[in-house]
Amino acid sequence: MVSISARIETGHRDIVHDAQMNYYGTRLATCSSDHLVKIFEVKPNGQSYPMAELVGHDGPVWQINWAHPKYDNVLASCSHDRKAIVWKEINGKWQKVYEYNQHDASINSIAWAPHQFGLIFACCSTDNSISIIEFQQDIWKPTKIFNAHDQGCNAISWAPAKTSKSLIDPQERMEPKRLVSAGNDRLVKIWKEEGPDNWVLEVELEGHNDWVRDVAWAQSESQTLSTIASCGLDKRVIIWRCADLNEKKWTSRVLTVFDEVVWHVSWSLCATVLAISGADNKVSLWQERLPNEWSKISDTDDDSRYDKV
Amino acid sequence: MASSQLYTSDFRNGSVVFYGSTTTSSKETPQAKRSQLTNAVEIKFNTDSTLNHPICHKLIYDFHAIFTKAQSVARMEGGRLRLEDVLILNRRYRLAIRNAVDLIQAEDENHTTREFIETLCAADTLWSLFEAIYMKPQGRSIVVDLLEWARESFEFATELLNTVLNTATSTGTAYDRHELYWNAIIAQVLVGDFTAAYNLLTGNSRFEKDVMMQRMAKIFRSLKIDMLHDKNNLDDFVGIQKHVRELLSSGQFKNSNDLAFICSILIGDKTAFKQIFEGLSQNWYELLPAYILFCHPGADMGHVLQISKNLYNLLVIGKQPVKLDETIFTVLSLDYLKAIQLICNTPSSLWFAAHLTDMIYKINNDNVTGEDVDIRATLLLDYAKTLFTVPQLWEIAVGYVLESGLENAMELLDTQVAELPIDNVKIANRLLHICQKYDLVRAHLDITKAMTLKFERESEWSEALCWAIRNETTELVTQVAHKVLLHARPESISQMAMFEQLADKFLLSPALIFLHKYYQFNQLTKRGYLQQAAQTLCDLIELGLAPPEFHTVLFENMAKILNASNEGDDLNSLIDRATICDLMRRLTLFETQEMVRTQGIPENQILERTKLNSQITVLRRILIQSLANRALAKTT
Repeated sequence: MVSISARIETGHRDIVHDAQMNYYGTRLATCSSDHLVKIFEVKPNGQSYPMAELVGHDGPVWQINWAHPKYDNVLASCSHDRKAIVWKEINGKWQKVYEYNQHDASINSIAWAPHQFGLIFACCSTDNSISIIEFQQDIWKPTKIFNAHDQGCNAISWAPAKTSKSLIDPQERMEPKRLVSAGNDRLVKIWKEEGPDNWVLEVELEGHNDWVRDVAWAQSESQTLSTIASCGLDKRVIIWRCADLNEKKWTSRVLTVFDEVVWHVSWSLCATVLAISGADNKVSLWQERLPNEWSKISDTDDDSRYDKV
Repeated sequence: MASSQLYTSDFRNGSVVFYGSTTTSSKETPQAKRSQLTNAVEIKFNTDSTLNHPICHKLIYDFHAIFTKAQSVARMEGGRLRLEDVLILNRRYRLAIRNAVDLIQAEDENHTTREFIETLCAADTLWSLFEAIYMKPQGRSIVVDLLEWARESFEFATELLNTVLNTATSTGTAYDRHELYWNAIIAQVLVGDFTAAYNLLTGNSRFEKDVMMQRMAKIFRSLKIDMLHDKNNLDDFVGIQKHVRELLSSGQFKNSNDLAFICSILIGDKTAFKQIFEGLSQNWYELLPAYILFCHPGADMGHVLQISKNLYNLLVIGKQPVKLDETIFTVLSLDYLKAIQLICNTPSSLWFAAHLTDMIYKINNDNVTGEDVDIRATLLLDYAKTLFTVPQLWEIAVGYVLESGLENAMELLDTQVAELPIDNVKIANRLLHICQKYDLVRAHLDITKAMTLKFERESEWSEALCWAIRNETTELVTQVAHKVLLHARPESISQMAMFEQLADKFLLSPALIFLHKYYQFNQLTKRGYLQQAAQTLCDLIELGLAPPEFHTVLFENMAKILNASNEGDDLNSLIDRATICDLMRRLTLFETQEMVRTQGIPENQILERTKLNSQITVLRRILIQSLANRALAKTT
């Protein structure tokens, strides 16, 4: 049974583009076309209190993402103003600790890598490129993937960190870092880091008929499969699965075709529930109750419908 | 918001006049005033002379693909486009323009290509300027937006940077040895890319030991243009300029002319701008963003027009503004309607005006939603009309008419397609394909009728009949079928293979049915089915649909077929007794009708009378013979 547990008035003066809870569910970050990032404290009873208003962007802020709590309270944001900013709470005050402005157009999506890889974030832009920025020895070191997608890159998501062991070499090793990106070339692409600062295209996934707006890599494996969800202007949500990433054999399944454009997909922490939102102003939650059989578990339209601002 | 407007249009002469009253806005923005439609503006369209150029065709096709995508995305978003989507599509449009420029530059240069290149370059510049003014989020500094315009549109900065770096890479020499090194740094300053300027400077091989360079590098580091979005940071920026002025006046850069010159730019020294215009930049507007930044860093949108005119007067002495200059002034004055007018008045620019207006209207931006006048629809329609003048571009033109959003778009399309010149069957078929796709009834009728009449004139009867049948109106089919019967040779009717595929529904008129049957008679005869052939011929005579002139043919055919049968060993006639008697009655009736019909007409004008009488006599004799044979066959 799905129900709304709280409604939070953000006080943003314009459209809110993203809202993200932190790891523990105690903080909510929101970002808006009013150029602001806001942080709220959220109590278990659903009450919320504004904590901070982060000023630094010069355009609509498209997305925010919390880093792993082992790095304390760190948040990344990306904006139309071509900047990605990293914010950190220091002694109770939020400050800008890093600004990345090496893109030539709007930065549309930003995501922190799994914490096992260190403090690394990736962002992607309308200028077709993807940046991966790593905090190493007190400096932020960017690497760029140029021409990742024709006509702009809309979304980015990291693969979960995986360790591997083999009989030959019993020492546990980290699998290479991987990213998935979505673009206006109708493609979902998987990138792999083959060496320091060397990212290569591993797989191109074709299945969408129009611009792909969002992509999300499930952070837990389901049935020992790597799973990615993508959605786009073709009103489809596609689930992509792969048993062995090194084999590069991905299968796809159209979860459903909606009546309107689908904007975002987001996995729950254990990757058991997929949240989907779209231009029909609805948010729906889907669960795979049987292998490859997805059911909508949020059935009440009234509860999950939001009017456009 | 209140507004009243009306427009009149004279599409044939390619002009439309817009009248309007002042529009008021419910949401005033500090930096942008709403465009006010207060005057009558006549937009006249120049005929496009470059439309036949293959590269222009490519550009048109590329634009059409992007346009179609824009409509498709907007449809899914309720008719508007998100800001990011507009910017993506704008990039594609501008990339198409640049690709066209590259292709033309690879051609041999002549007057036409030079003009076309100029138009394209102007379009690229203006498009990005429109984007900077009309398609940005609110609450931004116009100074910063214009600097972004500079970085996106003016290639001189990137070209200089690449020249210096590439030469250094290829020759292995330090890039600060390049003769254009300082020009490259100045160029980055002029487009507000202080990071690139800083990197160039700090990469100088003498940087570590040169205190002046280090000072300048520090200045570059401190200049963060984005801070100007917040008016509160203006003092910081002005403070930096003041610091630079102090360094300059105290002689801190006296040993470096280049660095001193850069300081002059940074403090907004007009002499420096004049020198740059003479040496580095070809166009005054390429210096506008830097001029505003360094001379008027706190400028609002309302000030930009006057500042740009001041700059023009400073740099361009003794020359009147050319069309591009006027258009830039008009864009900066926020009178976008007038700017569109100026663009339309430029030869070969209607494609640009139409698509640009489409994007402006699509964007979900309050700054331009105040206009109620549907200039977009008008421009798309007129652009479509231009495309209709080129056969290769008709299908694309149809798309623009349909997307114009006009209520009577289908009707206009129907009329337009119906009026297209049809030179040959291939073109006619192409047009019919369009008619079928979009259900253009009137055009379909006009085109098929035109083709029918064309083939009639050429006495191509089979073709004429085919087109008449495609027209599907009984009158035309009957008219043509009748003419075929009157004028076509019987042999040619028997060769009209179209009747093989004729489904019953195409038998629209009795005359066509008659022709079909006559064709069938001929086929039966050829295949040796004489009995069926004879029966068919009897039916034809019985139908009485043939014009009198064709009866000669029928009687002759009947006489031949029966005579051949009579002379055979088989006494059984091809037709039975009742039919023979019917035919004889028919002959008598026909004779009587002919006498009545030709009464009063002088004998010497009835050319076929003798032949007909002779045919009737012969046929009557043969029929009697057939009757006799049947009687004999019965008795034996």
